[in-house]
Amino acid sequence: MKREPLDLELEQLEKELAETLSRYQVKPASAEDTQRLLAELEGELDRSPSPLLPRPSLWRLFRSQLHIYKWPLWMISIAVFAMLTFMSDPSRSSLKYANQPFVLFVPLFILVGALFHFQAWNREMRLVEMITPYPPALLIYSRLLIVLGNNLCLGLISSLYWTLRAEGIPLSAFLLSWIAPVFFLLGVLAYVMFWKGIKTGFVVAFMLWAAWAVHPALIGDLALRETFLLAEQFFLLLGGIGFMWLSYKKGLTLYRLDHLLLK
Amino acid sequence: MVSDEELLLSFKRGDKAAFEAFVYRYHAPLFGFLQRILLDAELAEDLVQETFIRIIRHVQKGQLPVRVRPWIYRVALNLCRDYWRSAGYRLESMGLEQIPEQKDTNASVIELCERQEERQAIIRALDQLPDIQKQIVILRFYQDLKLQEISETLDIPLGTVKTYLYRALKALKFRLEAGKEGARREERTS
Repeated sequence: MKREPLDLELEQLEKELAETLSRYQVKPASAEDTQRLLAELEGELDRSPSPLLPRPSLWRLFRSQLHIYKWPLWMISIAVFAMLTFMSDPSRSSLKYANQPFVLFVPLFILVGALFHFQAWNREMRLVEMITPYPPALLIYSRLLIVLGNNLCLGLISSLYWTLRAEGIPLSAFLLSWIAPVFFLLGVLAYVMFWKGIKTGFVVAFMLWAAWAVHPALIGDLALRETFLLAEQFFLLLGGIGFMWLSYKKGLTLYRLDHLLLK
Repeated sequence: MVSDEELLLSFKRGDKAAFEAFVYRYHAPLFGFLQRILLDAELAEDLVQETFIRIIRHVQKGQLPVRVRPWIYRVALNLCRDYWRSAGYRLESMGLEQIPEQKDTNASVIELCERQEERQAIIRALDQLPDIQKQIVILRFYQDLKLQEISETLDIPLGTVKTYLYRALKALKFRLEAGKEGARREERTS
């Protein structure tokens, strides 16, 4: 870009005078002065009408957090799902697929994925996110949803593969067999996490997974076993969706409380 | 770093901490600016507080500017203009001999005297400029505003800012050099 002669002369003059003019110092404002000023402004801030708190958009949060799922994670997830798919054989299954490696380990893999994403959320990143308008509890929630969404996609592909490959496998029944525990465990994780803390949330979720994994073998009555497992899957799915909803509401409440405390 | 615009937007949504961060960011620059414009530290303190109060009220009414930095200096300058128009303002009460001195314990007495003289010379030279030129020089050199931001602050075209700044700097250079020459001559004769 061509510069005008006035610009060049101005630049030259500024350079010449910069040092001389910098000697005109004034009284600086100290941190104590700023604190005093803030105390004076407190009255004005308190007098202000409390603005309506906007409802945070979960969709915006979801989009803002999508970057957490980087390509190495995709590769690992695809590899794990492929391995579990080939290790399983739902065509020869009984127990409503509850003994299939795919059904058993997909919920565990998703819990581990959630744990990994929480661990990767380091302190510095957290500090940055704390001063954004996003509520931290809902940030965690949106990350859980991203982990859930990505794994649901991969699980759906595996399920379609099995229903196309082998005859006699009803897609809905196979989907229900692994989606129900996934929703339930993530729902419990989010719910307990928001009420009792992160560590407790993960401990409870992993313990529930272990109990769920071994419990079909403990049902003695073979005639009742399948009916019981089918009913249980429905309850787990409904319970999971319920817990996810309650966690979302709790996240909103925490967000409002944060703002109340700041006022 | 969170931008000024984001801080004020958060404050508008009810986040008081965001406004506190904004005050921490702008207290010192505004205080320095108003001291140089008004040549009175106490008055500058009062007007800094009043500037922030105006900003709070503007934001609460939902009046958020596109660019915050030029806007806050405009608010501060408008307050100065109000003050100059007010009955309380007496030009004669503000002689240059009353300009507060800066103390530096690390410098020798001779250095202190020299610096003080130089400081007074700069203040005198700035004060001889027309108001608008003085404001442009202060915004440019001490507040580090871009020419475009100065244009927005003072609500004048960019070309006019450049012309005024050029004239102001020419005049300052001439006066400061003349002052130095005079001091040297005085030194030689004594």
